[in-house]
Amino acid sequence: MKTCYVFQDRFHTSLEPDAGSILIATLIPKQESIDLRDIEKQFKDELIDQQIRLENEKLFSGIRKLIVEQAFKPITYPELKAKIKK
Amino acid sequence: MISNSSVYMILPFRFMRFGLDILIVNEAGEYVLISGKDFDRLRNYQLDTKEDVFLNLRNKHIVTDTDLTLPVYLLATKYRTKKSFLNDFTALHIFIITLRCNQKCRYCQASSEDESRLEFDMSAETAKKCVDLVFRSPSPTIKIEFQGGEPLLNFETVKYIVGYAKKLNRMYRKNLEFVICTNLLGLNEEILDYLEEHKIWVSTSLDGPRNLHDANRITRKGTGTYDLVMKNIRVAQDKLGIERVSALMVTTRDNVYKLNSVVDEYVNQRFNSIFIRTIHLYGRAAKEKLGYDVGTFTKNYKKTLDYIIRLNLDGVMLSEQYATIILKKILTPFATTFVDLQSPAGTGISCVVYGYNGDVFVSDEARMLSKMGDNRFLMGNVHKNKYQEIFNGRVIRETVENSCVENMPLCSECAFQMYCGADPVRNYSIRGDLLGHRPTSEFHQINYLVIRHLMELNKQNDSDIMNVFWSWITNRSIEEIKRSKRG
Repeated sequence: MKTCYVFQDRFHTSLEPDAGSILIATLIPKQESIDLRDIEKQFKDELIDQQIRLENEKLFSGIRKLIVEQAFKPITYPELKAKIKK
Repeated sequence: MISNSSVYMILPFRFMRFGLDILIVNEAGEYVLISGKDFDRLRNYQLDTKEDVFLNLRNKHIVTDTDLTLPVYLLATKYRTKKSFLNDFTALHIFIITLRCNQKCRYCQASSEDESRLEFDMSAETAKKCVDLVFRSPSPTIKIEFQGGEPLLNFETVKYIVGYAKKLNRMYRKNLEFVICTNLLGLNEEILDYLEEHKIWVSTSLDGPRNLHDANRITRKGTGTYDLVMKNIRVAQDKLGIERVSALMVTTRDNVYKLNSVVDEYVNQRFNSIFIRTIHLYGRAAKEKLGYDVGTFTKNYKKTLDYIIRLNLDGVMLSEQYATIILKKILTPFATTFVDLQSPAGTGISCVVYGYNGDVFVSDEARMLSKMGDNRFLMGNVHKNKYQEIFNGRVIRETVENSCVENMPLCSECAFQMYCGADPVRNYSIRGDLLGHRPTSEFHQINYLVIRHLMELNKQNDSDIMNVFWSWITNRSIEEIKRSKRG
C-alpha cells in the first residue's frame, strides 16, 4: 500500500486481492505524457525498499522509542544501561 | 555465508536510493552514503568490524559493536539538540499593527485595506493585552515582529509596544528583539531615529530590478515603488548599518526565469543574503495566477544557486537562506528556527500571529484563511481568552499532533525527515485536512527536490563549494573558512 502511495503523484492507483496471498496493483497514468518506460523497475525497487523499511521498523522501533524517550525524559547513564539490559 | 549478527548490532536508520549509492541517515540526521552492495552486507550482518565501511557507519551510530547504552545515550543527546527549538515556545510573535497599506501588491496574501480605514489599526489597548500574552511565553528569547498592512502607517502603536515590552522585560529579562517588516515608503527621519535608538531590525521587500519589482509591488494608485524603495533602503542602511536592514523577495511567474537578475539587484543594494521564496497562493496571489509548477521553480532555483555560489567564489558575500537553513540541518548538530521546516511545525509553537483586533492565529496564512471566512486556526482572542486557553487549546494541540513528520505518511520513513517539516495550514487550505497528501503536495515536492540537490552537492564534496556552504552556515568569509581549515 505504501508503495502505491509513493506513485500517486503521477498515477491513479488501486490495490486488490487476487487468489491466495497475491495482491494486484494497478497504476493508471494521470497524464498521457508520463514516461512509462522505467515505471515497472521503479515500482519493484520501491516495493523492495518498503519491505526493508517494514523489517527495519520491526527490528528498531523499540530502540527508536528509547532514543526519543531518553531525549525528552533523560535518565542517568547507569539507569539507561539497566533499562536496556532488561 | 558468514553472519556477524553476534558481533554487531544495527541501530535505527532511514534510507533512500541515491544514484547507485544508498543514503543512510541516523535518528539525529547524520548521514552516510554507501554502495548498494555494502548496504546489503550491512543488513545481512556481513561487514567486518575492522573495515572502513563499518567504522564509518559506527561513527554515525548506525551500527555498534559495543554495549547499546552508549550509542542510545549519544543519539538521544543529539536528537534533543536537533529538537531544541521546542525550548523556545514561543519565540516569534508577529503583530499585525494595521491592515491599512499604501501598496496593493498583486501577490498580497494579507488583504490590505485602504489608508483611510483607521478602524483596521491595532489599538493601544489591544497591543497591551498582546504584549502581556507575549511575556507569558516560557521562551528565553522573544522576537516581536511588526507586520501589516504597512506598520509604518500605525507607528504610534509600534512605539507603544516597544516601550511597554521593554518595560515588562525589566522584570522578565528575556532576550528581546524587534523587527519591523515595512515597504519603507513611509520612512522619515523621525522614524529612522526611533529605529536606531531602539535597535529595531528592518526587513523590507525587494523583488528584483525595477521592471520585476514594479511588476507586482505597486501603490494603490497602480504606480511603481522601486525608486522610493531604493532611496529608502540606502538611507536606512546608512543610518542603521547594512547588517540591520534585510530584504525578502517573492518568486512569481514574472521573476522565476530571471532570478539571476534578482540576485544582481541584491548585490547592488549591498544585501548579504537573499531568500529565494516560493509564492503562497492565498488571497490576491491566487486570483492573479502568479504561480508556477514545481519543476519550473526547482530548475530555476538550482541554476540560481549555482550562480550565487560562483559569485561567492568571485569574492561576493551573499548567502542563499533557503539552502543555508537546510545545509545547517544536514551538516551541523544544531536546530534551526525556520518554522516551515520543523517537526512539529512551528505554527503556534515557534511563531504566533496577533491580528489587529486581538485574534491570535498559528500563522499568517491562518489569518488569511480567517479573512476568507474560515477560522480553523484561530487560537483565541486576547480580549476574551486567557494564555492557557490560547496556547494549550484545541487548535494548537491539533496543529502539533498533525504536523509531526515522524508520524506522517511517506515522511515517517523518508531519509530527509530530519531536514524537512510540515505545513498543516497549507495542507488544510489545499486539501481540507491537516495531514495533506504528500505525493501531490507542492510544499513536499519542492522541499524534497531542493534537499536532494543540496545532498548531491555535498556528495560531490567539491572543496570550493563546501567552503561557500560553510561560510553561509557560520556567517564567515570563505577566507576565514580556509584559514580555520588550515588550523
